[in-house]
Amino acid sequence: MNFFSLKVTILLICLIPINILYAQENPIFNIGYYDLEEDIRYDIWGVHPVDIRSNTNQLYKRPIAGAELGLKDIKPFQRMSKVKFDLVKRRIKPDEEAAEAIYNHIKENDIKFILLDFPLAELLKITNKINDLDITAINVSSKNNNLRSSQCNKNLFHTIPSERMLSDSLAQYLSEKKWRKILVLTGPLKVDEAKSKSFIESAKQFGLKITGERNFVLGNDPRARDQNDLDFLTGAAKYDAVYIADTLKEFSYRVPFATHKPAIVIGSSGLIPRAWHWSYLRHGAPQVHGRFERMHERRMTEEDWAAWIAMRAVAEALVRFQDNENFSFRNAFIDESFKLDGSKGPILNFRPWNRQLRQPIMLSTENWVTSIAPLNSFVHRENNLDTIGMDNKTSKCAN
Amino acid sequence: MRFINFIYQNFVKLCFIGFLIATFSSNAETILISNEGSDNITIIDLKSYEVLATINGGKRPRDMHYIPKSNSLLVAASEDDTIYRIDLDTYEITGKLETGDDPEIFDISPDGKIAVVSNEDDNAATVIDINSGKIIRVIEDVGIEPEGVNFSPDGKLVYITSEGTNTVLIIDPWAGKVIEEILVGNRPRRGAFTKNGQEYWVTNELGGTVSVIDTNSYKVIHNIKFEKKGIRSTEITPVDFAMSNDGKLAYITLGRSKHVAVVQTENYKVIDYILAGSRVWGAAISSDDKTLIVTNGNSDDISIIDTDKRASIKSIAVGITPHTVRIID
Repeated sequence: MNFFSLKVTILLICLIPINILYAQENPIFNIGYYDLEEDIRYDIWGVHPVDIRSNTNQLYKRPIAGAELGLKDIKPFQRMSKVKFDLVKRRIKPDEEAAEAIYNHIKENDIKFILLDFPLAELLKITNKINDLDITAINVSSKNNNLRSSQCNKNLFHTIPSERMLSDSLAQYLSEKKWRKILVLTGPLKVDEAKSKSFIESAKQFGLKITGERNFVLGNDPRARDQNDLDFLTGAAKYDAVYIADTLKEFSYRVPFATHKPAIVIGSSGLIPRAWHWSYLRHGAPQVHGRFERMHERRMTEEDWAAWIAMRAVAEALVRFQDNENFSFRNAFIDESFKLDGSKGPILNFRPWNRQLRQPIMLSTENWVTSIAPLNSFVHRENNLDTIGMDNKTSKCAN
Repeated sequence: MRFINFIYQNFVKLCFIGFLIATFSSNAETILISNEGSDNITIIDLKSYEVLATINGGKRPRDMHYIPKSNSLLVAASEDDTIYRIDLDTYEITGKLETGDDPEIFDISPDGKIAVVSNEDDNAATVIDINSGKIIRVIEDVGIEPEGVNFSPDGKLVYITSEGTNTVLIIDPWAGKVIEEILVGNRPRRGAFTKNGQEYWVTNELGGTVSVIDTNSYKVIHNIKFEKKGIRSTEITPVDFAMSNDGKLAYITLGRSKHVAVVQTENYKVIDYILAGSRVWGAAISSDDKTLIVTNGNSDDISIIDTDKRASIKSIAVGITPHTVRIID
């Protein structure tokens, strides 16, 4: 008996089952991830001498962390999708033209799909520039309503909810609670104005009454106390709730328990509508939180979730649709049978009219999900998730 | 009068002795419910529907399996990272099995030698020697959030549903290998073999369907859909099975829709929907196929269903968030 040949035979026998599953090396599928080095949304403030936002642990909260978890989570799909997923990251420097840099990066690195984390203005420039590349993109952070309406783009999908979905969710909750008189406080930024505008539209749709609209500013200037002092800002009006639009959250933290009249605070503090919150404990969400926290040692934000689910959308489309004739992500995403599991209850899919991911919204405090929208009493003739956000009649998205 | 007094005085004692006999001498015809929110197990008489006892189940007790030979119960206590062995004569925990992190669903080989458990957080399945309680091996990469675990009737293979990967993985637990992976619907939760072992049925909780896999070809040969007037498709979230012992019917709990579907196994036809409780999940059927028990996770109770009438005849309050139900009869 030749021991060497016996060993070789045993080795070969052992390798057979592995060969069946991993017969050939799958081609690489590059997913590009782009964001800005200097992005006001990720500015660090309020950390000296103590981090006043430590409850949410948001010091470093770029959603690329969610995409990284997504990459890890879609690796097991590789046996079925027959491609090897990779995430190629590119951060745009302040002196670079984002659209140009991304355009070249996609061409040079064989990028097949992209995730975009940009504010509105850059996002519009980028999507216009890459239109002729015919690559599908997912917006993971901009909630701007116009992106889902008058300024939509046929190649741009959204996994982060729109402002309108968030404000509709709040309005449903207030309507159900019969807290119908609302005072609106708006911050100095354009995005703050857009938030308030969206909320006012939602209030109108769900039968709430806006009893006052006021603008706040940061500071202690006694001459501007009608705008920086809460007693003045919230005085002389009748309301059940105070809505505050403060994207940077520098002012809104001080509003709960400090309004002139007893009232709940909603919007940017108090009860906050979010796509995702780490305190949600149902529908498999704790497993996702757990994997994220073990990987990144911080809480998972809604933008992290949007990037994570975007990665899952790519894998899901490839696994179930890539063998179809004329496969494209654009068609697969809006196919009637496309289904995505976002670990927050119902099955998710994209609205074909504006490519927004349908999804429940978590109405949450800093450490608890108080309610989930759509609320049970709001029904839609086709899909209850369409009671929040722009439906095919209100969206002005033409292409 | 003295005689009546004697009877009266001893009546209480007799009742107590009778109770003891009923509780401790045998566990024939009982319903066992694990309550994951209140860390206990409710034991109910299958005939009278009286709650006989509520016993400690470890932290977050979920799946359970009965071992007739020793009249004991194996309970996966997810937060204790272990499977406890509970003596059903004394209701005491008498041992435990190593499981790895967060065991939820497990199954026992037909010969009773090994158990296979899914470790949801580690994307792994653990193979355990039941006698020694020691881990034999860990099979990694069984998809994301593996959940349902079933030994094939011949005991050679284990089928695992992977919630996050939308697949069923077929593994050889004796050799520790992944044999095959099959794409099913969205969020596959649990599986069950048909009585003849020719098919493996899988509930797709978010897909709202049941995938039927041929156990010879490993192909999905049918998708069972559920439709009932008045129930939206998004409410139909199938989770658990009870296969009738005569092999003819499958009872499938439909979660948020509050209904249990009755399906004919020979032609996959859905013949009825039975109203149960809120978020109906776990299911078990008595050996005579007359009584179906389901757990209602959102209303902390169970529904007793008469399978001839195809109707719930009673609901019984149990612990918080009832998870698994087993019937010993």
